[in-house]
Amino acid sequence: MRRLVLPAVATLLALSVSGPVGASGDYGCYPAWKLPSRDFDCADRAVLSPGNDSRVNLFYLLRDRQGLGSTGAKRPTDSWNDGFYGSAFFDWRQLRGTFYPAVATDEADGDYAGSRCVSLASGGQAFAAAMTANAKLSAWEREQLLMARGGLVRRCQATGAEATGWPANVKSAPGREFLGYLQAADAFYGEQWDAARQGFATLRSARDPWVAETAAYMLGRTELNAAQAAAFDEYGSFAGPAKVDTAALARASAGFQDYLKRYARGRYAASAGGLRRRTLWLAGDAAALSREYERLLAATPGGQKGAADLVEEIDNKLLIAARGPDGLDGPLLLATLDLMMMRSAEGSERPVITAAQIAAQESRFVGRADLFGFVTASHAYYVAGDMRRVLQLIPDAARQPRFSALEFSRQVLRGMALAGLRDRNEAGFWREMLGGVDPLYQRPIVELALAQNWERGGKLREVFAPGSPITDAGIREILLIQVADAALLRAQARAAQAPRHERDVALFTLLYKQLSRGDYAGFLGDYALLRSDAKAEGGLWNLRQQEDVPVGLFRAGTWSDGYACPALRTTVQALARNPRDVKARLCLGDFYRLNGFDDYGADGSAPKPDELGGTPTRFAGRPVPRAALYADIIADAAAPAGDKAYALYRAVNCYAPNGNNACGGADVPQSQRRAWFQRLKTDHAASPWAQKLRYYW
Amino acid sequence: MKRARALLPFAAALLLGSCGERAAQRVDPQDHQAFFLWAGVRPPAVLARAKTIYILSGEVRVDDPARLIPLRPQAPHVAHAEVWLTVRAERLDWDEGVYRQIGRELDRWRAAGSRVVGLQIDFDARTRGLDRYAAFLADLRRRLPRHYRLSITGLLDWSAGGDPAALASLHWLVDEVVIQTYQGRRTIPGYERYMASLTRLPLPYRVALVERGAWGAPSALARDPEFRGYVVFLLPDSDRSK
Repeated sequence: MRRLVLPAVATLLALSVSGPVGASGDYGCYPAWKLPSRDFDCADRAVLSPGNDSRVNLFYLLRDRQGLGSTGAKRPTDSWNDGFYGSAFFDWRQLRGTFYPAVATDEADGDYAGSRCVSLASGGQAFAAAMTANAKLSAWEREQLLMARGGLVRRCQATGAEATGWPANVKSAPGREFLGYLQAADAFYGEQWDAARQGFATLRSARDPWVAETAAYMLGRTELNAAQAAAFDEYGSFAGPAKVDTAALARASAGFQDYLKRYARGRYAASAGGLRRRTLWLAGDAAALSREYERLLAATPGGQKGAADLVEEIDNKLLIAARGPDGLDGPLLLATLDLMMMRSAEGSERPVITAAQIAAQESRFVGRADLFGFVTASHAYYVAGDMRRVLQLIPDAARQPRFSALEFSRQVLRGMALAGLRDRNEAGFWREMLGGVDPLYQRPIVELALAQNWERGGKLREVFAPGSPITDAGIREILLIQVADAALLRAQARAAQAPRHERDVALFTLLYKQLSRGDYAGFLGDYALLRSDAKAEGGLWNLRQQEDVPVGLFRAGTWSDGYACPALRTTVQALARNPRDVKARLCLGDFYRLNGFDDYGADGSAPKPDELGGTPTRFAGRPVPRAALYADIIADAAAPAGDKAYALYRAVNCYAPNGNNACGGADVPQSQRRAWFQRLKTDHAASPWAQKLRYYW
Repeated sequence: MKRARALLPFAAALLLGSCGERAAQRVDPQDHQAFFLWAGVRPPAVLARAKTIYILSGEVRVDDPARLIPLRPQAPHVAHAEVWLTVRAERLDWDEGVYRQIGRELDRWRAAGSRVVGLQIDFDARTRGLDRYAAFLADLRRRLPRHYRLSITGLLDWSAGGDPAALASLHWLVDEVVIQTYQGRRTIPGYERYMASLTRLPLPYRVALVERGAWGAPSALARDPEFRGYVVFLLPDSDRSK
C-alpha cells in the first residue's frame, strides 16, 4: 500500500529540534585504544558505559530487553572510514548500519522536509485517490478540484502568496466537502490557523470517510502549528516552552487524542502518535514524555529500523535536555541517564550523580536487579574508583555461552576492576570470557583487555605466539609499532603465517628504529627481509590504516635533491663503518626529509600510559632527530667545509617557511637560527648553499 | 556549577610574548566573532554580535542518500551576521532530490530574511579520499547558484597527510576550508603538531575551535596570509553565562 503520510517518528523529527551535538562521527575520530572510560569519547564500544554515546547505551538496552543478539549483523562498509576506527570501536551511525543495513527508500520527503509543507505531495496523491474512491463525485468536479489542489503549491513556494482561486461550479454534496477540505488545507499551508481550524472542525463530520478522517487529523496539526508559531527564535531554534501558545497546544493534544480514539488504526495513527509526543515535548512535560517512551521501548520491535529512530528521538527530546533523573520514569531511560551523569563534570552539562542518588532509585528498577546492580557498580568504578565494591556487586560469570549486552558490560566492568586491583587472575578472567563473546564488537574489547594485561605484565610475546587469541590487526600492529623490541619485530617480519600488512608494519618499524637509533649493522642484516615488490608509495601518515605499508622506501626511496647521496643502503654501510661519517649522516638526514619521515614517529602520536602501546618501548637506544645530526656536524671542527655549509643550510631550513621546526628535537631560539645563517653567509660565502639561502625564519 | 574560566581573554593573550606557542587556554566564545550553531544547541547571547554564523540545516545520512534530514525546526532569519547554511554529509552519492532540497533551503532562509552567503559541506573526508571528494565538490560547485560561496570543513590531518595535488585542486573548487581542531568536545591532543603543517594548506582557511576546549595559538598562524580567523563550535549548555 502506498504510504500516505510519513511515519510518526520521521514527522516528529522533521518538525522539531534535533541532532545532538557531540554525537560521534561529526568530526574525525582517533579512538583511544583502551577499555571504556568515564569520559565521553568520539568512539563507542559494546560495553555500556558513561563514555558511550547515550544512543548506543539505550539501543543496546532496548535490544537486550527483547532478547536480541547480533546474529547476522555486520559492520557496514564505508570506504571513507574503512579501518579507521579499528574493530573494537564504532559510532552511532555505524551501529545503526550494523543492525539495519541501508535500504533504498521508496519515497523521498519531497522538497519541503522540515516544514509543514512536507505533506504537500503525499497529501495531493491521497486527495486524488480519495476522490476516485467516492463514486458520488462526478468526473467533471473531480477534475476541477484536482486543478485547484495543484494551486496549493504556491503556498509552499513563497510566503504571503495570494489565495487560490476556487472553482465556482462544484455544487454536489461530496464535491463541497472536498472543496471545503481544499480551502482548509490552503489556509493551513498559508499559516491562516483560524480559517484552517474552522474548516477542519466542520469537516470532521463529513460524509466522505477520507475527508472526515483527514480533517480530524489536520485539526490537531493546525493547532500544533498555531501553538508553536511564535516559539522559534531568529536562528530557527526552539525558544522554550514559555514561548508556546499553551491553549492551542492543549487543543492540539486533545485533537490528536480524539483522532486516535476514533481511528486507532487510522491512516495517520502513527503520525498522530508522534505529534502527540511533540505536544508533550513542547509543553516541557518530561515525565509524561518519558512514560510514553518507556512504553514505546517495550512495544517497538528491536529488529526493525524504527527502534533506532525511536532511540534517536528519545535522545534528542528527552535525555539531552534532562537535568537530572527525577523527571524520568522507567529503568531503561533511568539507567541511560545515570550513565550520562557519571561523566566527569568538566565539559558536561549536568552535575555528577552521587551514589546516594542512585541508591534512592532502587525501587524504580523493580524487576531489573541486574541493571540496577550494573548502574551501581558503574558508579563505584567510574566515579568512586572503588574496585572492591565492583567485585562485590558483580559476581564472576565470565564463562557464559553468550553474553547479552548487559551481561557483557557487567563482566567487562568486573574485569576492569580486577585490572585496577592488579589481580593475578585478570588474564585468566578475560580468557574465560573469550569463550562466549560475540565476534563482532564484543570480542575485540576482550582481546584489547587481554593484550593490555600482557603488555603491562611483560608478556608481549604471548600476543604474537602461535595460537594467540589476539587476532585483531589493530591491536597487534599498535603493539609492534609502539613497544616491540627488535627481536620481536624481526620475528613478525618473518612470520610466514602473519598477514602481509602486519609483516610489513613489523619490518618498516624495525628498519626505521634501527636507523634512527643508530643500529646500522642491524639494519644491514635485516635489509634482506625487504621483499622485492615492496611498495614505496602511500606516505607515512597513517601506516597502520593504509592499504600498503611503504616499506619499499628503504630500498627505492628518494635519496637526493641537490646534495649528492647514494642509495640508503650504501649510506648505512658507511655509517656502520663509521657512525660519525659526515657525508653519510647528511645523507641520512636527506633520506628522512625527502621520504616523509619528518612527520613520522613524532612524540605527539605516542599512546598515553593507559592506552594500548602506552608502556615504554622495549626497543633499545634513543632516536636521534634530524636536527641533532646537523647540530653535531656544525660543531665538528673536523667536518669538511662544504659539508658543514650544507649542515648549516639544512639546520636553518628546518624552520622554513614559517618558523615551525620540521626536524625534531627541541626548538632552538631564533637568535641561534640567525647565527647559523650569518655563519653560512660569512664563513662559507662561496658555497652554493650560502648563495641559495636567502632567509632565516 | 562553576566552570573553569580562561585566565586571560584570548586577545590579551596574543599580546603576550612574541614567539613560540601560547600556553593553552580555554576557548571562550566571548573572545570570538564566528560560530558554528549545531542542532540542539540553544543559541547563546554571544551570537547577537557575531559576524559569521555557520548554521546546521540538516544531514544526509549514511543509510539514505535520497533525503536531507532537516535538523533545524525553522528557517533562521538572521540579518546581523553572514550566515552559512551547513549540511552534514555521511555520504556523497546524493540523489537529485537532495540537491533540490538544499536549493529550497537556501531560498527559504533568504526569504525568511537571513543574509545567506553560502553553503558549507561538513564531511569527514579522510586524507586518502580527497581526490574523490574534489570530484564531488566540482559537481556541487556547478550546481550552486553563483551568488553563493562554497565552504567545506576539513580535518586537522589534511595539511600533514593529504595528497598535495588533491588539496591544491580544492583550491579551485571551494572558497574556504574550516579546519576542525577537536573531536567530540575536546581539542585533539597534540594539535600543535598538526598546526605546524597547517600553513602548507594552499587555500584560505579558518580554524574551528570547540567551546571550552584547550587552545594555544601557534605563532605561525597569525602570519599565514591564508588564515582567515577562528570559528567557535558552540556546545549545548544551559549554564552558559548570558
